[in-house]
Amino acid sequence: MKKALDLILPHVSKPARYTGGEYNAVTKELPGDGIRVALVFPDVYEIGMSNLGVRILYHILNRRPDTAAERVFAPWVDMEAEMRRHRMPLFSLESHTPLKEFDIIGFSLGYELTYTNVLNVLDLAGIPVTSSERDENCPLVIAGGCCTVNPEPMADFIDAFVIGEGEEVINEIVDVYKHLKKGSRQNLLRELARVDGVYVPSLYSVSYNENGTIDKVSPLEDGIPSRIRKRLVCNLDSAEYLVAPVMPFIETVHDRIPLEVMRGCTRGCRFCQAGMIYRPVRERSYEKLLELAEVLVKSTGYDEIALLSLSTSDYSRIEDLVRELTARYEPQRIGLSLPSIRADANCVELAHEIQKVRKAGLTLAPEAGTQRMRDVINKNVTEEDLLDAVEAAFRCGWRRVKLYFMVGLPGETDEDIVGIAKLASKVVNIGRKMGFRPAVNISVACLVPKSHTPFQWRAQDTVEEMERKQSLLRQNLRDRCISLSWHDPRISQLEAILARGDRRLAKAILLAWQKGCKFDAWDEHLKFATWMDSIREVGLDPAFYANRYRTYDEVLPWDHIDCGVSKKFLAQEDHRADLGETTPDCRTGRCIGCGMQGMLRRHHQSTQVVANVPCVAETA
Amino acid sequence: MYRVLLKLRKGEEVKYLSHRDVIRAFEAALRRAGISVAYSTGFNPRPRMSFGSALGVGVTSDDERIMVELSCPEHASHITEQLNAVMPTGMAILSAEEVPAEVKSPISALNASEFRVILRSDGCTPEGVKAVVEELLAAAEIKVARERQGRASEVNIRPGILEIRVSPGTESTVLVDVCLKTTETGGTRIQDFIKALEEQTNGLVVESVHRIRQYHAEDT
Repeated sequence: MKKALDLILPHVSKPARYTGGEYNAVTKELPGDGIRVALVFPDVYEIGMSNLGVRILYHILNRRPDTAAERVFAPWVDMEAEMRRHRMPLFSLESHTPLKEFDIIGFSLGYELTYTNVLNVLDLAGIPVTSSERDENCPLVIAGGCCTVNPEPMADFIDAFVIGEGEEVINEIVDVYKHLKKGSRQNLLRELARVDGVYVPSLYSVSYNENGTIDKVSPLEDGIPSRIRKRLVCNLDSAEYLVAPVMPFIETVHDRIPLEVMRGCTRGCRFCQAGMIYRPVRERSYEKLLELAEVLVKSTGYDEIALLSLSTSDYSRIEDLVRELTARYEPQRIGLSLPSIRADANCVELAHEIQKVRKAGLTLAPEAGTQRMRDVINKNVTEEDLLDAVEAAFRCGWRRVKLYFMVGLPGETDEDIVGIAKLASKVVNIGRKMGFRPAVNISVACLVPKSHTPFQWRAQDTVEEMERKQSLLRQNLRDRCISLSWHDPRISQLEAILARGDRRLAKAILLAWQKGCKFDAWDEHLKFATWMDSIREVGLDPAFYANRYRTYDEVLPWDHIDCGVSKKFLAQEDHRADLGETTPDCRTGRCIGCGMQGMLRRHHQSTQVVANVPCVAETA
Repeated sequence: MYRVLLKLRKGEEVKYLSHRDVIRAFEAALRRAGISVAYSTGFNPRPRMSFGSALGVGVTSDDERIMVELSCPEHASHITEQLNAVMPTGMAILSAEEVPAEVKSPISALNASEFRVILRSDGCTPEGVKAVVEELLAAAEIKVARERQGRASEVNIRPGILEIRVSPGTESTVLVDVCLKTTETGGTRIQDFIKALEEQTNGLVVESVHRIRQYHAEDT
């Protein structure tokens, strides 16, 4: 394999993507009955190596003496062409073993637009892409990550999905596999389906109504759960975390120590899937975080620690943590970063506080241009908060701010679009008053209604409508201090189709891939027309998935996936969006009845822990 | 100010790293080793280091030079030991020496490199390669096409060639040892030299390219 690679690698871009051998990479000898797991991130190395979930699972699996986990990424198109030309099968980075020789292949599904890459990876490995074509001689193909809360579009390709957090269930899956690998594939799948949080799509049948909606989803056998409850790790302090993550040689998206301070968010933004599916909020203790930071600083040599979570400024001891980490690591020139902060003055000052080692840009996310719209999406940030935040930023020395917005929100009017331009002008004026011309970058995304959110029933704007709003905004942005960047509406449309698709879409994914679709998230590779044709060719309508308003009583393709937040709560929140009513954060107020309490109670009963736990995990 | 001059190996395992990647990997190793490097001042402080001429992707080396400025004195032998304990496989410090502050950076004096190119003998013979080399050396100009960021240009690599020796290697290899100038202007890149060689010989297969040493050549 090495010799063969030497023939290929001089002719591809960034060859170090494919060599492995990074510091902290694990190569190990396995006992004869050892289990080999390939962790596949279906995009290029630089993106995949920045994924925290994959890195945690790599660590957990490699801790087991009976298991070796190795990494695989999607080869870039130039490498793929060389591999196909030389008939070289896709291989792992650690031992350069062909993917086909692994026991288990685990895909990380974090973004719907990598689905065609999953098929391409399997094909490059010489493994049949559909589950039904695979037998005992093929690896078991599983998938986890946030996309699996609606696994249906990938049901034909993945043998078993993991719903929820993987730290514990990954070990259970390996144990079941080890026990049953000599038996039939069917028997293995049946046993996996009994593991909490594991969904085996081939053991369920889906029937449809005449209008194309789902009639029902039901298990084909007894003993298979009719609803699959997501897995969650109750205590982050005792959960496994990174100890010595692999240090990429080449630059990746995030070259820094990922220090996950908490999981979950109770802000309740109505468009945000992560905010719904990662409930409840669980914090790592201050002491544990300091301990992890020390271990990771020593083992990696990174010069930055990123405090990660969905809303890091909500961490209860954030100021203490920042102060202590700064005191410890500033002398060593190790910087801190807060990738997600709230748009208010206190948070901006905190962000400024940590910039002692290195200066970074500042990004704030008001999400919508008018107060009415921010209330619709329950983004509890006022214009005053935002302008105060910007003033604080300018006072602290920033001259450039980036503002995130979204269009296509429920009930949005042209006035709301123009509101984005007006708000941006106000931001510029703050700088002007202080005597300089700030650079304001506006980044606009299109709403992608996602499963398990209050907006899961909503129609997405058509591509034409999104483009119209785009030019409307552009016309209203006359200030040279303001620059505008816009997500490709076609990518958002495809994302919306796949995110709320049912398992009939699998045929369209297969066809689109056969017609050459891959790296769909990359502007230069997206073949939008091919995608739409493929969907129609298998007898489906893109608008049925993207632009259709669903009713509350419709059976949704993901209703059998239980993420803890109840459908009743989501409907209630969706209704409040219509009324423009906000819902307070339950962390500071009373319980809003999202349904997590019920899941936690069941969770604790099944693990023999006393019931009646608070929804927001208490911190030390 | 305390300075150490290090000699680094870039081995087979890491040969596909770019010059930048090697620097990044070295910097991370310095931090893991807990060696206190002096930093530049300014908006974005950087460790104070300097390197010899950049080595191309795919090329190994036994003589990459790095000059590191330290914020407190450390023994050269200690640094070697500390760094080698935390280096990625394929990278190693081969030697280290303390450089007095008054001495001009020895790296800036390096203006030439000796490379060993190993060719597979099923694509050529030592005699054949010798003939090609003699022809190349006899020419007043050797033009090689180059493409940088999509723009094509042509360079004359003849002035940058100092010396070439061809010898039989093992049964299956032919060795080409070549000394090239590595100055900013008038230097020749080993990749361009190999390209010139390939253009003159059909079916040439390059097995490996290795930098043996960097040195100071007079009158360049």
